[in-house]
Amino acid sequence: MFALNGTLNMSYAERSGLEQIYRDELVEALQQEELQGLQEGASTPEAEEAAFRLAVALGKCQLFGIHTEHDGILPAAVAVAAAKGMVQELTDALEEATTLEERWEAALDSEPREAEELVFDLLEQRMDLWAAWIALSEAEDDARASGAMPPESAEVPTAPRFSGSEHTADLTAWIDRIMELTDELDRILQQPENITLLATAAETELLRNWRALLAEPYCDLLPWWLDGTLEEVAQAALGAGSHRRAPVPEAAPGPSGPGAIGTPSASLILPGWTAALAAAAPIGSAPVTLKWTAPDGRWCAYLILPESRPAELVVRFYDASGYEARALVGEKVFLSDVPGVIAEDACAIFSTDAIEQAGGHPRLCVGAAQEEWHRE
Amino acid sequence: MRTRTKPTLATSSISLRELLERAPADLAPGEVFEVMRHFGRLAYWWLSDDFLEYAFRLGYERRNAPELPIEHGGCWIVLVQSQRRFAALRDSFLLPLCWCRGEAHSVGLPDPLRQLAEDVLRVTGVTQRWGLQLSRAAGLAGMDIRMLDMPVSFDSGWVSLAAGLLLAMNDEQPDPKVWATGAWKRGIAPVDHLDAKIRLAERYGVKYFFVPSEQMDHVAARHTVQVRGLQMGVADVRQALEWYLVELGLPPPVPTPGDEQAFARCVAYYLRRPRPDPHTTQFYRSHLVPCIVERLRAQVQHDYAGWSPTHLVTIVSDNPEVSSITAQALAVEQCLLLYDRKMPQGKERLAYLRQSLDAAGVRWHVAEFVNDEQMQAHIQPAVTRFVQDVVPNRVAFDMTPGTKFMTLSLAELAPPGTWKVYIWHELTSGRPYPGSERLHRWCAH
Repeated sequence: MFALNGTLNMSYAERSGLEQIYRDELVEALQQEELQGLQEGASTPEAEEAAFRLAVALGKCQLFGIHTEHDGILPAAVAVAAAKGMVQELTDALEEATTLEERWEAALDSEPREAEELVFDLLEQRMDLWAAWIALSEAEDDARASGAMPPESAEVPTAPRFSGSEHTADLTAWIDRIMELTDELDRILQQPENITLLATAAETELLRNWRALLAEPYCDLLPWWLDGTLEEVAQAALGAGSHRRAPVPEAAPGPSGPGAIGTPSASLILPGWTAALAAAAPIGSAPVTLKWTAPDGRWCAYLILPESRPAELVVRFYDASGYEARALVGEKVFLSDVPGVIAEDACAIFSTDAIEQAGGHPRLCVGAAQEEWHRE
Repeated sequence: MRTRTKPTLATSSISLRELLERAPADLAPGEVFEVMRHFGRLAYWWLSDDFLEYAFRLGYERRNAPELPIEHGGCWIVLVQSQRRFAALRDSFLLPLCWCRGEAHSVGLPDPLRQLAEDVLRVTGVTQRWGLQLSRAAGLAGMDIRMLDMPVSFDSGWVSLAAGLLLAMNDEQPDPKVWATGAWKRGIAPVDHLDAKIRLAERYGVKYFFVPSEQMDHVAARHTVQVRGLQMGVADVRQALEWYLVELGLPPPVPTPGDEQAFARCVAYYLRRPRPDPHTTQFYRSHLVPCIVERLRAQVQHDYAGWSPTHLVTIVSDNPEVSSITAQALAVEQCLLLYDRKMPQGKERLAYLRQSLDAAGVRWHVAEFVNDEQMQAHIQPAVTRFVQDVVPNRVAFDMTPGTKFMTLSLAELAPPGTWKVYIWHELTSGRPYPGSERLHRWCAH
């Protein structure tokens, strides 16, 4: 089995059951054959993935205050490989975050439960990245503190092509890259259209369970997805009169009945609108402005989503110079398939209730041909 | 051959800068929407009143300039547009930020600001990872302000970033009513546009505005904000920012009994505060005295098990808190307060003692004396009356407060079998180190 450097100063957690799961995961991660290649100085994508998995397992033990005899600090060579693996994982996560809304929509059409899974997967992935980050940070601190990692260390018996200081510099460079990607990932995940989807997890025990498991000091330094932000967004979505979650098949009437508290509603409120409304509400210091542009670039339209839920949504149409689009007066317009007409003041007014009932994206179509405008 | 197209709103190639340069009255309605769309939540912080008024008329919610939030890691930079080139912007405005432990600098921040943050980390010698982000409590998290491409210098925000970081590392929160501006070039360096910055501070109701000391004379007299100096010519950043940090840090919450970490935070805060200072004294009384009492009670119960004095004789001194601490630690029922009527601020001190003893359920008596060579004779009748009919073992004489002469005079009056008590403590910078107190007793013979 692969071994780690040193011994972590971890507190013992009294969490039977779950504790064993994370211990087992660490043991399994240490037993990965791909790690042996790292001891021989060969870093392959498979080895990097394995090293990342080890960093996740080790970091989770730290996060959750679980002590095992396999505790330790990642040797520099393994840490560098884990960092490379993490960069790949972050790249994948960025792709998934960027396409979350699109995939959510697609999942709703086919298998609604999959939509929920998308959110849970992404949050799990974010937790894994946090855990790996903790293990890597410690490895970096350790490497810095020791000046250089001796290549003939008992834990890393052969790492002949790299001196410890080279590993350390390498690790620091990779960690810098990780920080950039992590920041970008968090920025995308916190965008209105995504954070409202992630907020559906607030309806489950997932976030509460994670918080309950966290040991000091991590329970005092909660990341954004555990610090109540998602609950606030979920609450705001409720306050906005809509509730954004993947629909589930209607439950067969049981002892509690289909309408009992806690039974997910079978009514479907699609994302998009709720995302924008909810995102404007919880933080609540300013409005969100949506913009669409006509395919030919001659016209554009704006819609203000204020802090509190409005009774009506007003779409204002302008020409390319920013003046009211008088030429469009009288044109039919469809906002999320809800019909309207562009009035004399170059505005089209829609009932917020009607838009919410229609669900769907903030899609704007103009003219009898219902030409879809591009949302920026 | 490609043709150059005229920038339009619809193609989004119009420059935001170009829009901001124009007076709000010269903007088309759609252009106002375009600016608001880009600024998002920052609009209320940065855009001019004229521009916002235009936006309100177009349907945006009418709001005042937002207040700075109280936030762990919070810091803020006062920015000034140097040539007033951008009519849509305020002349000076705030950028609310926060330091986040274990995170990277936000990629949404302009490069010069990220570099400034790196410089702050380097100069302060912070080795842990701290990342500068847009203020989360202000609702700016996740914004990308690089696209705003603001032609402002962030250098004068150096001291604000540094102080915010140092406070955050100390687990303290900054007071939004204490601002500063100052660059760093191996020490505090002067900055431009002080008047504009202080005008903004006035608008936000700021209490103290710290500026490089050599620039104080230029601004101090002209504004209602209290302008204070950042020590220049000092290479140690903590020393240079010392007084700014003292004012910037908000008091930590009152610790609950047994919460050692919270108590330690309060001690650190207290020791950084100037003395004498009414705020410091009040903080000591509200945040530290209850914990000190609890600790001493436990020590007395442990060291002197079974001893429960009911009467305490003490002297009202410059530090009346010590008398209150002793009375509460011993959980006495009655307390004789010996009071020098000519003592400076004696009435306030006596009043504090009465109130604190009332709150603790201790019945008090006051006996005035004249602080001269005859004081022992002055206080003897009152002391005798107070202790008569009380079992000697139940009487304690407080040797801690007052001058040595007072202490010795009082000690002489302690009848045999009563106890003389003293609160021992460590001293730091001329004041007792809170938490170091230990109660000692000697039997009078």
